[in-house]
Amino acid sequence: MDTSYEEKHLTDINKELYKRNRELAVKNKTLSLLRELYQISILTLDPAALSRKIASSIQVGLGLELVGIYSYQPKQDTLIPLGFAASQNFSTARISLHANVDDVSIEHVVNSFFFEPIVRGQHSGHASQLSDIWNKEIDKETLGKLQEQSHIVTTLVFPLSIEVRVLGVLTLCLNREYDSLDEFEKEAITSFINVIALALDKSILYQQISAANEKLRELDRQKTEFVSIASHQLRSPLTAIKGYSSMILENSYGELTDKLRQPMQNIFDSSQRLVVIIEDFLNVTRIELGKMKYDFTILNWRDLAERVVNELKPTIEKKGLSIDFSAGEGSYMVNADTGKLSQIISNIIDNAAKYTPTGAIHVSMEEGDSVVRLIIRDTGVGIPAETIPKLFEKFVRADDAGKVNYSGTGLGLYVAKQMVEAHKGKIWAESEGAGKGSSFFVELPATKK
Amino acid sequence: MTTFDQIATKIIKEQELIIGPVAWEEARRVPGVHINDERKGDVTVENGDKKEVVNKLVHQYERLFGRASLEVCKSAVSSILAGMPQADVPSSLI
Repeated sequence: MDTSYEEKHLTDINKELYKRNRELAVKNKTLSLLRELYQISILTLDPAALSRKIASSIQVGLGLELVGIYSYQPKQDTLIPLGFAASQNFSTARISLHANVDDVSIEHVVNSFFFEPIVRGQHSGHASQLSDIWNKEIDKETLGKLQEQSHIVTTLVFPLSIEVRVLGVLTLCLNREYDSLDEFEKEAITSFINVIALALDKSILYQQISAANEKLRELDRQKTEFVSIASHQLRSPLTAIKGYSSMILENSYGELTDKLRQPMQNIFDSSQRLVVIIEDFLNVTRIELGKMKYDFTILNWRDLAERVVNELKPTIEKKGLSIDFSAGEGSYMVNADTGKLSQIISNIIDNAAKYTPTGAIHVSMEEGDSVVRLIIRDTGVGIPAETIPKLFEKFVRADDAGKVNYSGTGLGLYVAKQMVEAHKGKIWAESEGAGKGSSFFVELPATKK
Repeated sequence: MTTFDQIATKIIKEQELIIGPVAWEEARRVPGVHINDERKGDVTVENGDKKEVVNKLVHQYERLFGRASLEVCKSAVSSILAGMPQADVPSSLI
């Protein structure tokens, strides 16, 4: 083997290795750009910001004169500019010519000779003149100068679509013919179109969900305000109904006949129930509007709980149930709003009474190192395990509610939970299941004397 | 940095992506190409005919690695060449 043959052979090997290395470099660059686009897509949720970042990455990565992303609005049949990135050449020319191609929407796509096949047929398009693309939006002379000064030779436009749904288009302005692009550029362009479409789809969905959420929040706020106003308006006439019916029952307007006494008692009882319901609604609206006021003071929770139990005792016993109270040694001091804490206890006892057709309610208290705990146990219908996690949500009732004579708004426990949490406390329920009674726990931080 | 400095830098860096540090070693062999700082990619094209220095740099790679390397050089500097008058473009890159 002579030396020149060896040299030629080595040169051939060298060239072959170069080609292979170039292929690897091409793949490496493509993957690097794709990784960059992927990073942008997971870190950016706003469609416009996402498009600007993607356009900038592609413009720098491929050395293009202009990269633009439009979103397609089917109802208006319009392409709306989302994000653009331009080379120094293009930016300079655009400013001097006042040719803001990145600021104009392309309306009536159906009438656009250039964009119609891209949006409707999902074909890619290319143009050698900018006036083929923005002919309606910017005058031909300006576009000609812009093209000359920014050295644009070819413009490629690709549809960004998910299945049959076109989300927008990607516009790439090159300073070379498409055929002169190397494999890296051609491969990179085709591989990142789908990535951009997916990222755009995700960000548009996020935007739509955010807008829908905002609308729902506004509707919820309006609903809360409506309930608040309606409840306030109902309370005044109801107070009159309750007051007058009470006075009639007390014979303030003369002796009530036996025939009328029961109907009048029904009016009084119903108005009383309605007062409680309206108070629940008002509490919920105050909580949701952040208008619930708390007047905190150091108090003895045991004394308060015992008082509430004694107040409720006649009503409970009238239903044929028994109720008792017990508490061990301790100071039971907590920092709380007396009225709200009474209401919490009342709501839970009231709830226990509703779900206990026969039997007893036991109210007890314990004091630990840093907490004071109230426990209300009943021998009622119990709570199915699947209901327990939802028990303190609005309008939730135990599944067995229908089996007992239940009336109420389903707001009592929700209100109690919100109030307990405002006291930096915890509330929870336990039950061994249907028919096995329930236990409700309320825990508040203890305050030392 | 002159346009020819930019062209030389782009070519060497693009070749480095494919052949690694050899790209810098081969560039050093070209008369008129002065590498100030390889790490920062600081390259100066010296001597009188700068177009000719760039031509020599391109041919240095082509001689070793064939026509594929010429395409890589052209592609690397295409955006710079687009803004240059045709008369100033080194003949190897046309």
